[in-house]
Amino acid sequence: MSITKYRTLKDVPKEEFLVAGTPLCAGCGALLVIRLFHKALGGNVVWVNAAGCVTLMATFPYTPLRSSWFYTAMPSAPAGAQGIRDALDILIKKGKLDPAENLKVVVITGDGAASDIGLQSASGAIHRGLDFFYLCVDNEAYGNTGFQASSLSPIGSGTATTKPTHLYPAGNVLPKKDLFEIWRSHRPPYVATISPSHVVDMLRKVEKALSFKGPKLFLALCPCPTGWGIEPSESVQLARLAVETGIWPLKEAVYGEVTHTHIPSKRRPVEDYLKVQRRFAHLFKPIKNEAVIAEIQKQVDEYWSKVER
Amino acid sequence: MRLSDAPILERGHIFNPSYVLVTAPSLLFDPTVKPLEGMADGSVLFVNSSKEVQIVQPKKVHTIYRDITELALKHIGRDILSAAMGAVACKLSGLISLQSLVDSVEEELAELGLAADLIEKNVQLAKECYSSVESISLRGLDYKPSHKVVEVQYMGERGIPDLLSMGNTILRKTGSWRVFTPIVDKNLCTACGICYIYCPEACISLDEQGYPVINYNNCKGCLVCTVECPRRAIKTERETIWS
Amino acid sequence: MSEKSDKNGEGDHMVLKMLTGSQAVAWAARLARAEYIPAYPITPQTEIIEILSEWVRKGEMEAIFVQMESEHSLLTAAGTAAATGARVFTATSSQGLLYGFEMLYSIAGWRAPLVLVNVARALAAPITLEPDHNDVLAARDSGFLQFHAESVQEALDFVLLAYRVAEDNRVLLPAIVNIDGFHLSFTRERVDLPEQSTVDEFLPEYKPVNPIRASEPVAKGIPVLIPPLYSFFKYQMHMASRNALNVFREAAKDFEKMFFRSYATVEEYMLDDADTVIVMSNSFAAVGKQAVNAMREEGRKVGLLRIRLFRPFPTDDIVKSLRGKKCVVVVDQNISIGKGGITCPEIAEALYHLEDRPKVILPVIAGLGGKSISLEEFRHAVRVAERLASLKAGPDGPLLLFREDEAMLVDSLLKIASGG
Ligand SMILES: Cc1ncc(C[n+]2csc(CCOP(=O)(O)OP(=O)(O)O)c2C)c(N)n1
Ligand code: SF4
Ligand code: SF4
Ligand code: SF4
Ligand SMILES: [Mg+2]
Repeated sequence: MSITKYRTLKDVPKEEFLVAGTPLCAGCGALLVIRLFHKALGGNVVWVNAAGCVTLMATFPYTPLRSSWFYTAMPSAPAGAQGIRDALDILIKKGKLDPAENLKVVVITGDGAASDIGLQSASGAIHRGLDFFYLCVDNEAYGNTGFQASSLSPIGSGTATTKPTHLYPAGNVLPKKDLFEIWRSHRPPYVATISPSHVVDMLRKVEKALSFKGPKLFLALCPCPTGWGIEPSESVQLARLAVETGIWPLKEAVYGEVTHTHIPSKRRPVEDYLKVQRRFAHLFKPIKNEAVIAEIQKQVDEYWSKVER
Repeated sequence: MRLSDAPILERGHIFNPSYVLVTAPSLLFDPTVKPLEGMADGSVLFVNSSKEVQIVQPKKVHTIYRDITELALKHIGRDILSAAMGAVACKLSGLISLQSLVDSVEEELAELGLAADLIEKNVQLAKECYSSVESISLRGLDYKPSHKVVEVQYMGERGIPDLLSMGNTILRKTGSWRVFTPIVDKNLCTACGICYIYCPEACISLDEQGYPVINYNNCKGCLVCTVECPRRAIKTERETIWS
Repeated sequence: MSEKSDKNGEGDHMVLKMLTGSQAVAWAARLARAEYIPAYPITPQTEIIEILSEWVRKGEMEAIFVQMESEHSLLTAAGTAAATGARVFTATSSQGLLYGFEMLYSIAGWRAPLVLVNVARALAAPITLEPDHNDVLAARDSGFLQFHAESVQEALDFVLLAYRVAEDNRVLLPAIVNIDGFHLSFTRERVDLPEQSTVDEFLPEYKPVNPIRASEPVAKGIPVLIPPLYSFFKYQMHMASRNALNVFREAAKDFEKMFFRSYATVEEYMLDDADTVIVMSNSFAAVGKQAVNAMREEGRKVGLLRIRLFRPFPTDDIVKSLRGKKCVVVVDQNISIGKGGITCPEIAEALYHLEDRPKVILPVIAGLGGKSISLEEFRHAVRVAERLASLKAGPDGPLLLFREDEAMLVDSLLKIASGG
């Protein structure tokens, strides 16, 4: 990246847009991502939300946000963003609204909303070139309803609907959809993956995205202590491990051109990441499922073998 | 929980509870929970806390404080309280035997697919909780809430579920969730600010010299700060500040 | 839209035009200065959105037209735009309304006023294009106000009235204007097209409540997990909807002064001395009136009551019109499977406590999927009701109006289908 105001962690903006006291679980990765993402976005934001864990941030009569919030419905937050954006545009154009009242419109949904029930709505909004941000907080399952599998649940993970059994020793047998590529195939100005562990990377990406008009899409891996079976304190560590094992590549695509923003010099084995999470425990106990672990490692290796250095 | 020899027809809200068990003292003051509502003179309040809590009590309610979390940590190593609270309820009521309690803890946890050793730990926890309190029989519970039916007026714009007070979750004292308290050791701290960045809750601010200040009213005790601090300058203590 | 580009705005007087129902509601949206039109095509609604998109693309309407990827999304966008402060118009039909169903309740709960034209079309399966009212009545409990139009003129006028009532801060609820597919949407009728300046006078600028603005953050649509609070907000919606009855009456008075057409919540047709009253709504009510005329010529004292405003339900006006009558024949062009018509129980409940309630309330199912209703079918229904009254008996279920010629047609088509 060229000119950026974010060089080190010292540059993280001090202004808080999110206050404490939400009902989200202790150590929730999604909450951390929202907090940091908002710092980079700055003020004058309206969040447009689909049903998911973060919906519970604001429940009557409380909200942790100093910005506006609009809970729409599970399948159609991007359409909700369309309505708000268009309404602001037409009111400003007609002189009914002071341009100083304008807002950045930011969709915030979980992975289930983004990859399953709301994929159509997102695709529509991206296709129409809607000027908005989309932040998908990916905890790799339907967290709010009790951690059932979504199409972003990784292969080998145990969820409430993909419990490992003797018939299905691997747990989830379906692969994780590549939402980054699905989004990128629409050729929006900006798509990126981010991680709460790599804060400067995140801030720079938001900073860059701010310079584009049109869809700016972010996929954030958000460790979920409750669903993943980790200690709340390990949340950021897990996000870091996902990056260091190469499971979660940090990258961006500007008008479809992909760049990796962080290439781990020596990738740690995926096992390091898997074995500390209860959702993968069945891959290690009572007997180690070498085949599935090797398959996961192979997929990661293949991915990186195609990444140009 | 409802106990009766006759068929139980009450459903949903419990209007006048005989026993109220509160898992965290902060819930006592939560306007959205109001656990004390409907308690009659002579009813029993159990609070999971090591210390007494100042509560304005309009009625003569028999109040007991025990640190059940401590027991959960001892037996299970985590603050999982369901078996513990269940055990307290069984004992307080004086209606459920230890054996019935143990049987149902075993049965329900097995249904959830818990491993045998974890079930055993829960059973031990339940047993200790059971013996940690005495049964309290109820004295004359004649409390009749007024429950007058009123007319609701049309409130115009105020009757629309929009929220205009921003950032007010700060009023919710999630500090009571803490089992362990993060405490910054100023001797080790270099004021690098990393803990501030990684606190998911925005509970850490930096003072003028750049040293972290933790908002204990709301800090949930996730301990991300402890783990992320490069100097290991954030120590943890078993929670006492809150209660 | 400038006065000059308004092809029809040359004079101070009204302009008479032959318009289809689709054209008429598009004109109404234009005259209301709708500024946001999210859309998704479905037969028979398409003409409406085609016209509007063209006007916007030509710059004749200062609005944003956006083609969405589904009705669920279109309703979401419509609702959030209205909550942000834009005057929103949209239209759908049948499967589209049901596809977006979740959002009907949401928009109403957000208290976001907008106008949605539903071009009635019967519901699949089996799929069809012809109208009945199961689509619009599926939305009856959502909080949307419902205006049911009989004519193309009413279709246009109701859109204007709907904005006026919906946006009134005693109401703040969205509205559906129902026009029957084909019978209104594609039928040309003579329409008095109002002047822009008069419409501007009739319809004040929309003033949104707690709109989304940088200077005043707001959280909207958020969960209300506390039962008494939920109950409170829902009942507020009900009271707002009940307020709409008088707000409508007020608006209709102004409307009459400005446009010389008067609208009550119901229309009474030859009711004064009627013994038997047919109750209907929407475009087929015209056919009902024709039947009333015929029966009157035969010397039968029959009249017709047409419901214009279905939500809020105009109980008082219905009571006024029907008390003291001998028989009421409620022709429901819809069916609640396993029960019968949807309107009939609502009428019956309105009349139940009256000393002088009608002796017979006959539930009738007719015109499903656009099936025609002939004079003889109306006559039959009236005869059945009057016979029950003379026997002091009640109906033992809904009466389906279905003719012998139709039964024969069905039979022959079933033969073809089975290869027999
Ligand atoms: C139409 C509809 N279907 C289902 C639901 C139930 N639902 C609410 S939240 C949720 C899970 C959301 O999962 P995800 O999008 O991954 O967000 P997370 O909770 O994991 O953050 C589901 C399935 C709903 N609200 N609406
Ligand atoms: S379940 Fe997971 S994603 Fe949801 S609030 Fe808890 S930690 Fe966050
Ligand atoms: S991370 Fe550790 S060293 Fe840095 S400011 Fe926080 S407590 Fe001090
Ligand atoms: S324990 Fe968690 S909530 Fe408390 S200050 Fe540390 S990071 Fe923040
Ligand atoms: Mg999820």
